[in-house]
Amino acid sequence: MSQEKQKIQLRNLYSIRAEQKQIETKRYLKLLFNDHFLVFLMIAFGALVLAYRNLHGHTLALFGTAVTAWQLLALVFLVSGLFLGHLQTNLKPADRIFLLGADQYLIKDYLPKAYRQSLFVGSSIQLIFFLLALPILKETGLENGWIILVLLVVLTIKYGQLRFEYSQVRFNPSKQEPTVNWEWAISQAERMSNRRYRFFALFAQVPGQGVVIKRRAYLDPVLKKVPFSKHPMKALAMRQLIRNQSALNLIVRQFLLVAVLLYTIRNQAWYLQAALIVAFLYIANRQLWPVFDQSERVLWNSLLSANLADRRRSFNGAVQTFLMSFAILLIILISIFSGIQAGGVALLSTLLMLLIFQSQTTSKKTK
Amino acid sequence: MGLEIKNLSAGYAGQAVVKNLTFSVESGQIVALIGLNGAGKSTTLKQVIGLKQPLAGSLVLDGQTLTENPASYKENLAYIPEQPVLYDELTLDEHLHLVLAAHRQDDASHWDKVQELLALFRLDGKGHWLPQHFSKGMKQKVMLVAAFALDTPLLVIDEPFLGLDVLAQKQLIDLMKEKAIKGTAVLLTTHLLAQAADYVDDFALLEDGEMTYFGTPEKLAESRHLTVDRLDDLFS
Repeated sequence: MSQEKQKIQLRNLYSIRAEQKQIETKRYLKLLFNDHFLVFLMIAFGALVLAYRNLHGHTLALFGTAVTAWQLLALVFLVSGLFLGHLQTNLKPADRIFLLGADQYLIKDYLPKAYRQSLFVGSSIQLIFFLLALPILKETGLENGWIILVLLVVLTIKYGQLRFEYSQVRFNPSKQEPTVNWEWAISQAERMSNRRYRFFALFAQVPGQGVVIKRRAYLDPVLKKVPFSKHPMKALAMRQLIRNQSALNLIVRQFLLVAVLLYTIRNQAWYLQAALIVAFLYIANRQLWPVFDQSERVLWNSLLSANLADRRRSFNGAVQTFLMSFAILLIILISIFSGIQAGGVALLSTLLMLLIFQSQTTSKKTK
Repeated sequence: MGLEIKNLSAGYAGQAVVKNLTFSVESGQIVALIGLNGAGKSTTLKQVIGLKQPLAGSLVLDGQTLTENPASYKENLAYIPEQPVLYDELTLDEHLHLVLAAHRQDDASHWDKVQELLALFRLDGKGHWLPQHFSKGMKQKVMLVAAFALDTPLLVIDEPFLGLDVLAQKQLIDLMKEKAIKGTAVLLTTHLLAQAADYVDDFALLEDGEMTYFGTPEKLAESRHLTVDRLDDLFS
């Protein structure tokens, strides 16, 4: 096969992969932005706007120092944006075998394209984060010139980060012609791909997506209260919920966001706080059920418990126990921030939500 | 008692892969399903463990049918799959507690048995490990411990020796024999015919989804003009 022909194929390979990734992303985003998630987003966005309106104009100095909560918030927001938008080579483990002889084409054609594309995407993400952070940056009291400087700093950091990753993927021993650093390239590409799939797996079933597990031995005393001997499938579900890193992390992050929002709207009407806790429970419940679907793919599930309805009921029981512990913490926070009556309303809303979850599982059982 | 299969037809999308299969595995008997790839061994096992509903026929295990009493039926069998499957979120000990509890056998005597088996397969002291820390062979040994710790009338093993070291293979054969002596019916699939001839009572030969032979290894060898130690040449 001529070299020219190989070059053309590699050029196609990159665009084919980029196109496939785009189609796949669109498919998963459609699943992510479903009605339920949009409801949560609307409530969370409303609460954020309300919180911003309440705090607008306040200096929010931290412990009497010159540092303000606005500065801290802007910093955290912009830094978290920098964690997104890495080098996307779209390389696959099999490339190491099948494209082993095509190093030069990858170096001269495929990887520069990947770098340019990543630079565009990475910069766009930083710009979006900057625009979202703009109201907070304004609150810090920075002049326009300084704000533009912040944007330039963020873009420069992102450029440096991508440049570094690009230099890693192109191995250049003793100033000879560079070759592909396969070990680094494949491991980085897999890391990126896994991160993306793990995110989508929170909302949809992603084929072949392994579960990231963390032992969390410090929670063993809690788990001992749910022994296998009494309710085997509920005991299994509790362990799955607690050790599934993606699911738990997501719920904890949402919990923290809700806790902050509850503080900022502490002087608002009670129903707003109750609505927030209801929205949290609603979306968290939906986000935990993919764990059940993942579990159903394990052969043992149907061997150990013959009845699907029983397995659903056990999982629902575990989800309720799990969410109740978060809800209790939120109710305590509401009671502290807004008074015992507000806490009471939140408690009633929580119980109502748990009853609804229960009835939903029961109705699925009878279907 | 044991497992009784009558006129079983099974397959996918209404197409029968296994046709009109009838045989039984009595208590204390070891029967090996043999045949080339695609002959219907795995399909038959999926029916036996209740993963699929048969197109026709019946399966009775110790008086319980899969269609009428699926929960009791499944409680009466232990299964070792060809590829080890474990819950990523459970430790080794938790897997064993779960299997015992699901079979209502999570008591001290069964846990003692678990400890013996863990020591036998050199898994003792690893009770708090998650599956992500196990090698494939170790995962397979977890499957063995889980199945052999149970007291069930039927033990089903799909390709028992895949991924096991030589020592573990020998231990597995001894355990199967021990189970059979205690009255368990053992049904397995294997491609290692000459080796299996040493410990199975009967072979059930499947060809194109139909059973063409059921009987002792010796008679099978004789019918194909082979010696027992040359049974691996059966399909050549």
